[in-house]
Amino acid sequence: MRLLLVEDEKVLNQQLTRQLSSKGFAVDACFDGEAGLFNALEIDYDIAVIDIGLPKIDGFELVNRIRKEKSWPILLLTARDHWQDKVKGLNSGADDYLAKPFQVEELVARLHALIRRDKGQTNPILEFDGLRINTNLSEVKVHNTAIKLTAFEYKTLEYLIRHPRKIISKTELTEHLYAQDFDRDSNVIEVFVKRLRQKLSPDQHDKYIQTVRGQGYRFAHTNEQHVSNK
Amino acid sequence: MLAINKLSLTRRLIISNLIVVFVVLPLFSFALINTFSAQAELSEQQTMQALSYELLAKLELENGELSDDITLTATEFSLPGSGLYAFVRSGKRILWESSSVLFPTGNINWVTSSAGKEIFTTIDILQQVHFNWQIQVILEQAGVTYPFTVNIIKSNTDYEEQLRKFNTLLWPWLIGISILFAALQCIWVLWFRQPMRDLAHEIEAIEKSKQAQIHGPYPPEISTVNDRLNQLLNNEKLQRERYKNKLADLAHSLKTPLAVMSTHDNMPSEAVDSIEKISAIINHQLKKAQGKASSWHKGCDVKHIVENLIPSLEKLYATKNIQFTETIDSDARFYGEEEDLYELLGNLLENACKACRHKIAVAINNQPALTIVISDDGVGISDAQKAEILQRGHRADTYDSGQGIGLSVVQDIVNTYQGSLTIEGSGALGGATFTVSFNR
Repeated sequence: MRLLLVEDEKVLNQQLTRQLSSKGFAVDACFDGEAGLFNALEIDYDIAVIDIGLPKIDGFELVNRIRKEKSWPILLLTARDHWQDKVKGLNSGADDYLAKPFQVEELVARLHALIRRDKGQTNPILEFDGLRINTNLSEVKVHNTAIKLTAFEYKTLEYLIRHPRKIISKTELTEHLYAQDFDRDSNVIEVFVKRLRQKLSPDQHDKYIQTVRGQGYRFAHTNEQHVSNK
Repeated sequence: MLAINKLSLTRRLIISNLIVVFVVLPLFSFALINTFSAQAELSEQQTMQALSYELLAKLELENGELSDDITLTATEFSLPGSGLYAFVRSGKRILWESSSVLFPTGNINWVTSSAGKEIFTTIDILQQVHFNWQIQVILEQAGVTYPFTVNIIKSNTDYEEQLRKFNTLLWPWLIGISILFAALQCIWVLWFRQPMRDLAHEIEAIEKSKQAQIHGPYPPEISTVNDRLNQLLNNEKLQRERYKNKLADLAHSLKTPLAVMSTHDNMPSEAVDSIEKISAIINHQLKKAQGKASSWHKGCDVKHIVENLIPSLEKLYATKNIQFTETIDSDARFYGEEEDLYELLGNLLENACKACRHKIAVAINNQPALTIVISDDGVGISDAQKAEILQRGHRADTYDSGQGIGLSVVQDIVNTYQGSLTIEGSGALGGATFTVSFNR
């Protein structure tokens, strides 16, 4: 999941980048509203975390301008936990807010909830014919057997599952798995997908992830089940 | 004294006008009548004095006796019973009388006077009041002095008639002037009151946020007050904005470092708890600092704020599919800070969003005073929980994170504006009902 982080406090920005990256997000970090707006309009993100008090363009204005062009969810970080600010932020186009200080776990849980809501998947646990994924815990099971995936393998799987039946090109996958300043190599995607298929279903390679020749990959399984929150 | 000070300007004007009509005008008439009667009396006196001088000029002594041959020019002295009489006396003995005298003179109570002194009095003749002018003179013949008293007596009928005519003319004029004066006063009161009424309307418009300043134009006396009032409004607005910005800066500068600490990779859990506690205290104190009743309440539109909050809450609680039912008086106004009303309604509504299954009812009415009722279809609140919620509002610095902080903020705001918060464990929709009432 590619995430835009706009926070002017240098230390907080660096900590959040590190921690969100460790939770599986590809984070593009910006330190002011102008840089945030440039990135937001150039890159197709999955979600954004924006602080209200930003230099150059404040958080409310930034959300307002992003919302005119983009529909991905936005979470606002606010120092003042006041309803007037919350209403202003939510009315300008944000989808949720989080008051400082906060714990990274809460931020991550909110981000996952927003991404799920955006993709029309309200439940954090998804099941597809024996494949069970807990998006909150980044946990994958096949027929109740836990599968150990690397962070990038999980990211690849989650992105495909978040866009079921949609053909995802290698370029799109690369863009959503890596942050902006990462040295990208699209061949790596082929390696991830190959490993994923082997781990998920060693005998039937195409059971979950199909290759669409010349176009990309597709999570083709239609047997999605929403299960209760356990 | 206090009661007088509390009198409205209109009443003050009416009372002063009534005093003018019922006290000043009659006193003025009384003074006018007195002046006129004094003038009429003086006129009678001067006429009689002139007549007496004519009589004196015609007094002659013949061998120590008064000559009878006296003829006065005024014809009334020759007409019997004309009301104008002349006498020449020596003590009580009448030496000569005009032909107009037909009545017996023996019972007349003559007034005594000294030589050369003129006297103007009244005297009763045949039980009728007459003016009496008299002067005593001393004539001398062959070294012998003879004292005589000359009396000119005139009936007061003419004088009374003059007074009667004057009164007959005066009272209708007086009543007419009073009516005209009262009518003019009414117009004056309306005219005088108009700028005050306009000012009151403008202040009301400011209270209803329909305008930000007093525009006028007004008479100079009121303009001074307006200018000061506008200055006060501006100062207060600037001060509030400055205060708000300072609070925002303070919140930012305190909470961002806390966020840095709490998101640190190796932060021990005890430290995280402390950070949360510090954050809750900062939150609470900032909100308390902000929840300060202002000296000037423009009043904010409650319906508008509810309509702003509900879409935000629908967004935040999108997965619950909450159905809001609103019954709100369109003229409902909260006479306090808009930010406080946002906190009050935002916290109550968010609390209901958390507690409800799918339904929330918001009822706000303005009569007789602002009352906000928010109900949900959740499981309701037990008596023990109610007591805890209400008590927390008084314990300013000991909040724990989690539920209840919002309600304690509500309680603080309600206290600031001298309102009341009541909680019903099981309301109309089956869940809890929170009712907030204000006096104004």
